[in-house]
Amino acid sequence: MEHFWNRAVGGENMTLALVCGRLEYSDSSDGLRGIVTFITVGLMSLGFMSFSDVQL
Amino acid sequence: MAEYKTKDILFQPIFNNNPIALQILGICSALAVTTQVSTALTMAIALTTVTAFSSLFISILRNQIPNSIRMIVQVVIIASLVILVDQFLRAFSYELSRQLSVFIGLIITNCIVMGRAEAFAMSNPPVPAFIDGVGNGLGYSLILVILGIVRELFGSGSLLGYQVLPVISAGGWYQPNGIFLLPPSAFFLIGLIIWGLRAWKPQQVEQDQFSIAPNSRTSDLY
Repeated sequence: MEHFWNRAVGGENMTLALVCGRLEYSDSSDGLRGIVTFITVGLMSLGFMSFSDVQL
Repeated sequence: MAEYKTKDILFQPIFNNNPIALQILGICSALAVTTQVSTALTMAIALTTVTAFSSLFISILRNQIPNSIRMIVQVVIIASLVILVDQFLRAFSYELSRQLSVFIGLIITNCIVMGRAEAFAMSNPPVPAFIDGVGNGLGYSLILVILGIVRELFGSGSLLGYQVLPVISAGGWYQPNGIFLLPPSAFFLIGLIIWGLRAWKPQQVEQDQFSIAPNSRTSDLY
């Protein structure tokens, strides 16, 4: 389990870096530049929470 | 040495140089303790107290602290204050201190406290340092309280424990939005708050890390 989470966290970092790399060339609104990472992280953490049977 | 105005030191960190919204510090506790307004308020008051007094004491000692061990001295001062706040909460508001659990203790590792000690208190007299600590605490508190209000209102239909929107399970009409009680919602909300702040104050917008070369067709100079 420990091993799995280590990999999951590593995978999440890499995926985030990939997403941010693509977003760098997108024409996002001025106020969102850099901050769009927050929203990406929020969406990704929801995705990863779904692996652990999230209860709403 | 640059002279600061007291008003600027106190109010700059609230909107113009907010520790959460501009410096992106202290996000960890902002995600963890804002599911209810009461815990958010307690955390905000605790952090403001610790930042203010640690800045004051570090500033008083700043000429006695050897430069090579200044971090250790700062941590000792901050840790003593955090223990005081923690014991105070346990003595007078045990329920709240149980809900906040480790997060009061984790004020020690909060970058805002250490950041103000390093950036301001080490090079300024005690009174401005104290005011700077209070100002940064207030900037943090503002974001925490906004988050707490939104998350408690939409997540459980109440504010400070009072039921504002009657929920379905208690015979009302409001279906609580459970996602607001999960940490990801704080990410969205902080992102939206920062977006709003930057739309209001465009000088906080980050600059591009690259610029388009002047000989390319999309450049303004072409």
